Amino acid sequence: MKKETLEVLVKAHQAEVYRYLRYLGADNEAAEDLVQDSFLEAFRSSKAPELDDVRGRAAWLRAIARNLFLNYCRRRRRSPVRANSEYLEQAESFWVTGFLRGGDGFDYVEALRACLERISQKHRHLLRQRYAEGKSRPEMSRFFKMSENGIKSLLRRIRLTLGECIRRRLGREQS
Amino acid sequence: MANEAFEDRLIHALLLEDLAGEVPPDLTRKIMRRAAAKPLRLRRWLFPAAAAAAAVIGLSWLLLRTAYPAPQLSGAIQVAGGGKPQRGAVLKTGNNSGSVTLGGYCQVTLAADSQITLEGQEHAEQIYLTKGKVSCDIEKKQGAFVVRTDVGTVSVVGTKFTVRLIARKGEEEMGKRKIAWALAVAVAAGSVNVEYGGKLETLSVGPEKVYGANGGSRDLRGFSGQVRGVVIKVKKGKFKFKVFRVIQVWEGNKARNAETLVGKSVWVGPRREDHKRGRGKAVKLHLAFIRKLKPEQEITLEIYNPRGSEFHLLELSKEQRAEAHGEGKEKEDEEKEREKEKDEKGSKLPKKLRGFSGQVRGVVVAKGEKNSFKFKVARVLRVWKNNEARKPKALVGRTVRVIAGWFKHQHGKWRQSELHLAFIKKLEAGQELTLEIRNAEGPYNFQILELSKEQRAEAKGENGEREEREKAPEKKSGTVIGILLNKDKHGHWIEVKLDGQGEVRRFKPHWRGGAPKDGGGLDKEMVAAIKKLIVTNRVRVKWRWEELYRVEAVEVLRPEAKAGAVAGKITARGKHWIEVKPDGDGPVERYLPRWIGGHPRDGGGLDKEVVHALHKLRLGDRVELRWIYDERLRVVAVEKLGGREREEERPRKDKEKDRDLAQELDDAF
Repeated sequence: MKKETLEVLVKAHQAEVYRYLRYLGADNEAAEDLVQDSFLEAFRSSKAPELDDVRGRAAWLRAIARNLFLNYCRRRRRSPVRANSEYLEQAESFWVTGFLRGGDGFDYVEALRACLERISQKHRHLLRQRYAEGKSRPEMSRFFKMSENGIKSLLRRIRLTLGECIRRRLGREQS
Repeated sequence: MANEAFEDRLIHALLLEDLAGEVPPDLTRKIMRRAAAKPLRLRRWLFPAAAAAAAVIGLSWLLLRTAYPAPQLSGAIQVAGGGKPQRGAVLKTGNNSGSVTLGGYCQVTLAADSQITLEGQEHAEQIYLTKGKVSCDIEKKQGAFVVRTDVGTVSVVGTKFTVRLIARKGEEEMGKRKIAWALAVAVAAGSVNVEYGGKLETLSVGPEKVYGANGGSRDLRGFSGQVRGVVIKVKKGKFKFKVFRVIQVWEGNKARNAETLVGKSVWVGPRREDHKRGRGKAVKLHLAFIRKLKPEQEITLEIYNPRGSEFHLLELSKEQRAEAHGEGKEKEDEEKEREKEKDEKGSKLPKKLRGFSGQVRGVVVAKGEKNSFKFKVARVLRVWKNNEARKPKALVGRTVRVIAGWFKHQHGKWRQSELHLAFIKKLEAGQELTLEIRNAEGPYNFQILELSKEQRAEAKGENGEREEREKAPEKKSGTVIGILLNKDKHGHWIEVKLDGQGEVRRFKPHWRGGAPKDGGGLDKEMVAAIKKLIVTNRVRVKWRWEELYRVEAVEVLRPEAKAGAVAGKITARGKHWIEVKPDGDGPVERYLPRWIGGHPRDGGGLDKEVVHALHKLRLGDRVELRWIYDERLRVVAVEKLGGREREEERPRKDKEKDRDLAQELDDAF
């Protein structure tokens, strides 16, 4: 692959590959390293799809990222997820059907933002503490006077409900 | 794993991006650099079969072993005495900077008038800094890198940092002053190990740290001028003052480099009657002024430095003299002033965000006094290289005060950018935009760094052209409903904030006829209709796309009743208005206070009580208000619905509370 082609690939797909790796379970630092390794692997490969085939090359890059992530998990004593090939294949399947939906995931992200506007102030406060302020579970449990497991379940339930809202919105837009 | 679990993972990852600001980084440069440093592949034809080929193999191996990149120079950097850049070579820069890449993974930039010697070995690069300053960007996992100086060493594995040597006045010896060197290290990313005086210290991202001799600086001796900065502490008739900006220098200034005062903290005392000798009586008014100072107070001062490192007040301004005399406002008024200032300034930035410099996306919350506005940051898009904030992404979700950028104009005077001021003037609360901002002075304000091309055009008043640059929508006609935000006084356009999307769209009447000289012009009937419209009302606009959004018909949607009450959430606010989304399915409406009395000169004005009540409200608050319709929706009374949103959310103190709160989510939507 030529360096010019690599640069085009990187600029077009690095954000998606990074997001994909975070979705699989990599933390920020690991995702950054794996993104770089994925593109270098692609650069060295002789099987690059045509530049015109946007979806094909995105899927190809994701496949490389998945394999590298699997190796990364196997090398670590404490893997971020219980990663195996089957898990990663199912993750890829959901990414394509649930997130991309024939596009680039933009609709999903916009739907999430719209749904975030609709949740109650208290739950938004919870999410802000967890994500924007990066508070730990013990800190949040002290602040909200709940047990740590309670906080964990509550956050999960909020995300579940956001998921339902997103699906409803996307379903409405499609119809 | 069920789809539900994958969806949970996905939403978690997207929330990290959106709320925590962990956006995908731009790794293009790193990837391209690593791709450029890839090892050569061994070719099969270099391995002959015969035994005699062993020597050939050996030779081939020697020829074709992984080629470690040679040092690459760029910019105004030279090898002292000519020759190639190789181990042992001395590299130096003159009036401009230059850089050298070592091993393909160490990018070392030499500032002007700097000198290094190349040392080390493959994958363990080392430079010996003998003069000036270097900035280093080291790729992770490629090898080690060390900067050696006579003062100490800095070693890293994968990070960005700067090292500079500072010449300081040392002790006197045999009638001559020695030069003592200090080492200054600043880490931009990752961490470094600094070995100094036999001790090892790990330095992380943060402001520059100096190791070595301390002392005064000739650059500032004899300074005389006006500065802006913040009081750090007040102690026994003097105060410590951190300088943000040198506004101007007076004629009597003798400092060689007054600008080096920026960023420094200096002690400032009162002027002395006989200041040349450093003795004499302190000016009483100055002492009184100093006594009234408070830490974190931002002020403009006129100061001078006769000798040594201490500065003295030169002159106080009229307000400062009045304050010192105690002729200022009464304590109660002063409290109110401070409250108002605090309200305008906004909340103090935490230390981890100070020095932020980058590009953000968010929404204008409200226009403020003194050409400023409050801006709520939704996302941190980029962080620039000169960013000093330790956790820039923590800016997400914060509301900050933004002012126009300060720039040095002719004659060395500092002024706020006229373009930025014009841009701020045109902003509307609720407007979503992308901004480049930085926090350079104090813990409150952000300044605009640069405006985009479109923002500059808008600020210059080329707004009429904006629509021409808009892309044609898919639908070529339609009907929209929203709040009429603005209109041209000549009836040439209207701006409507569309329901649901929050998008603000401009509509112009159709063009009828040919060129203006042939009698052509905007549709007269529509122009007349626009002139009659009253802003802040809800309108229904029928439009068609013809190069721009053209308004074909506009209808004001007046409420059926003349008065009523509504409970809902504040979705946008300005100085004297709020937009409320009612509970349930109703549309967002904009409410203003009533006008009471007649002309302003006769004492007429907006209902003060309501204005005062609105000022206390914040975006996202739930309110209940009574309104009347008088050309516009007017708030008669407003009350914040505080505490719990719904009865069933009342927290309980037993363990059931956790489950109950989780159950509420079923009703969340």
